[in-house]
Amino acid sequence: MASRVSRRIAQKFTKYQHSCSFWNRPRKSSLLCQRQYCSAGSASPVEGVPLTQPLPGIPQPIYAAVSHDVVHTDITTLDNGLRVASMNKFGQFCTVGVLVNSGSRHEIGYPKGIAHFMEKTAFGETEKFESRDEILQSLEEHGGICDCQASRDTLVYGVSANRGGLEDVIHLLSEVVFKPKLSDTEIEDSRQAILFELEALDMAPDPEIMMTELIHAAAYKNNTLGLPRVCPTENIPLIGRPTLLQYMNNYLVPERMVLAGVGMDHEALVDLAKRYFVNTKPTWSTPEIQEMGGRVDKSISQYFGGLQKINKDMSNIAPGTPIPELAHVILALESCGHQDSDFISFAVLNMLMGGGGSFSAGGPGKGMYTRLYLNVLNRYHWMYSAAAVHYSYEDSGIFCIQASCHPSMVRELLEVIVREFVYMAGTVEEVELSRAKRQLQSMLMMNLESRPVVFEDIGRQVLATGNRKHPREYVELIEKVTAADIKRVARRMLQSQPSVAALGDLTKLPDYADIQAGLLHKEGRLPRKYAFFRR
Amino acid sequence: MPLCFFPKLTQRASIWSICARQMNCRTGGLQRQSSIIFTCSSPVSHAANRKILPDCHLRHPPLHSVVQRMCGPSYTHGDVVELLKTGVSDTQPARLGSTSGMSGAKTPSLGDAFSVENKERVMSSLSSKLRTLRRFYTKDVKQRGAVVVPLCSVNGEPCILFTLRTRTLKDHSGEVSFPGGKMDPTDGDVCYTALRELQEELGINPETVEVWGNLAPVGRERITVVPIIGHLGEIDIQSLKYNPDEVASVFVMTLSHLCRPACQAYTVFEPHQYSGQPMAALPVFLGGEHRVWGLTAYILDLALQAIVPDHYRSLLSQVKKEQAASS
Repeated sequence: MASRVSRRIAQKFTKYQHSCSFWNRPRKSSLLCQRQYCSAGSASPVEGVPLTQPLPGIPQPIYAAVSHDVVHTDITTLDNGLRVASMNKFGQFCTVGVLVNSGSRHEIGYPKGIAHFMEKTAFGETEKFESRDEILQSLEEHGGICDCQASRDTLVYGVSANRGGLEDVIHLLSEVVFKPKLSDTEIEDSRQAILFELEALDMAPDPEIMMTELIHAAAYKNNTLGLPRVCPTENIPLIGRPTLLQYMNNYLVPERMVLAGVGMDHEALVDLAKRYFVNTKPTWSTPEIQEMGGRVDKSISQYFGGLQKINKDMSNIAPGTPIPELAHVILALESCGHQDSDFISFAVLNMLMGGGGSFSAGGPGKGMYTRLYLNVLNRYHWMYSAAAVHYSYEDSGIFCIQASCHPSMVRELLEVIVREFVYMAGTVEEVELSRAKRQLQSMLMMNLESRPVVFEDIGRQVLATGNRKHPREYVELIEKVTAADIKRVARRMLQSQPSVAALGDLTKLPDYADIQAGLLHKEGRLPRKYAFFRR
Repeated sequence: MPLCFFPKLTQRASIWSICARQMNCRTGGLQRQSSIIFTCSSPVSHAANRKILPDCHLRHPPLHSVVQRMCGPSYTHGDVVELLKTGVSDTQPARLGSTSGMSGAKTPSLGDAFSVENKERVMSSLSSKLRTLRRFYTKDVKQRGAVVVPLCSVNGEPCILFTLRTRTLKDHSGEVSFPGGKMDPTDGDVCYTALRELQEELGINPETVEVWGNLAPVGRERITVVPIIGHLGEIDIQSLKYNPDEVASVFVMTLSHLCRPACQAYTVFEPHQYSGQPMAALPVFLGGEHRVWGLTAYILDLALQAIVPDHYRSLLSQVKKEQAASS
């Protein structure tokens, strides 16, 4: 973010240079226009200070120190159950936020879409701040920005700001998490925002979010992870202040939260947490909301598998752009959760499959030698995109290949993907395996250079396990993955029923039973249907 | 201020998500009965067809073609969901065992769960369920099914046996289940059906099975299944000659493991249309070779409540209480 700010400043400056003709103007010889480039002559307190001494009145600089353990994470659990986890990192800015074990998977017994509303209403009016603008203004003082994101299993409130503003930021977070006003206007605004977002999703040429929703619904049906993260249109009027507060009363409790931070002293953070996160009276502590009750759902996810499809005319989805008419398909099998011992092997398998878009420019590190490029995208000209994605959660996960092509080729597309799935349990070449491992390791380490990534990583790990694994452990675990592991996890995955999500013109989509049969076939062939005499 | 100020946040930036992301950066002691008890007073047999009873356990089941055997208990997920909506079909899933008017006999320790005393306790407690089968027999024969809850001991440790259905079966392929299947019109009673299927799937001679009784029928609409509690005695998993067409593998879970709260979990299912009322929970048993869930877990939950009521605490009833309290 720091780089973004500096870029913006640089841009402004260039603009300024161009618009202002000062520099371009031919210098007049007038003395008045002459600029003094040196303070010499004026009476300055700096005058006479030798260069060997620091200038008076200037704060002591903080230098980066060489440390061998730059990823040490301190974790403290407060009396109320809130876990405070932080890592100090050199830099002018810090990222701090609250992660809550709450997401769309917990919405059993509530109208679906609460997570979406929580995301939209976050950083709105609170007891102390009268409006969203006031919050943003207070953050601006510290060059800060804020964001809230709700996923299937976690709700993240995050703020990045100058280190000096830590106390204000923690106070703000406490207000935002525990004391949202949720006024009528705000709820109405959120409803509008969600409605617009749904419309935009419907018209987007890249239906990734909808496809993710579909594949989860296909894989987990009507339990936990299969519940929609995006608020269904019919639920928009159902969700209001009482529902949200009832939900918050059950799920926004300190025991389900982690206050994570990067770029501050741990003790300082713990002190601030004690001040602002203990004994705060939340908005939902009123008797009416308490009476509403509700329960905390501890369901574990149950994978089913199945087909979810939406027939939709996408022939004119992006007029004026080179995006052709496409049918989108995701084929997924049950993999494992991120606490499973096979998780790392699945991650390596994901890298090994790789993939991307047919029209991707490629380049080093983009995985142009992954299987989905070599065996799929480079071989079939009609394939628009094919990529492996692994969604993993606390107790389950799905390994997907998402692909798109012209609607006329959907059957062929599924044949190709099914075959790739079956071949995963076949021979794994040493070269491709070590390449995938190296790529995963480097990607991991490169991502952990970024402060917001580290923030979220700390938060998620502490939320799920109560501590944070050293990245080195992950690198070692990745190194240990063998071809036999890849085969084993692929076989394990192939034991599950397939989940299929499809969107677009689906006249050529094969039957679900054919896909099942294809995955059981040792060559991954879909059953042939002779259509000589059929139309 | 617009969203996505943390570009990385949108990519779910934890190590797990980094790893999970694609590369283009888009983001005891069993007392085995020396003589096998097959009495006509077996609670199950009491049911409908009294005439067929005497030879029900003695007759060797006829051999069926593979095709016929292929169709196992064909309850579907739809049925499971249906079950969830309505609870157990014919009767309330009332707690069985010590509380249900038993002679006050305490269940022995878990290791002695299959002892004569406990067997008699379970049998008499289950016999009070007899009337429940009357409605079951009024259903079309195609909609009747039976499963055996196979109690067995492995190295003297009381266990329950499960089968993993093969991937090639039409229904419920690759899922954990109890041996069982649909009733044939020629089957005398459900007990016969269950034992026939047990023989077909696992190659276990029905004559060696002690039938303790039956639980209330479960399921609805498409098929109703009667769980039969049968004791197989000491078995060796490795030497079981199961039918590879139907059974991919056989595994056991010990009673002591099943009664451990840590191995129990549940999943609440949600109706597709929000009604304000969540559906009941289905139990899940973890820690075995495979996860036990769905109708099998539901039957197992009922069976454990009947067999070891003092050791098994049903998580399901807790969840039900919670749900009742919250609504």
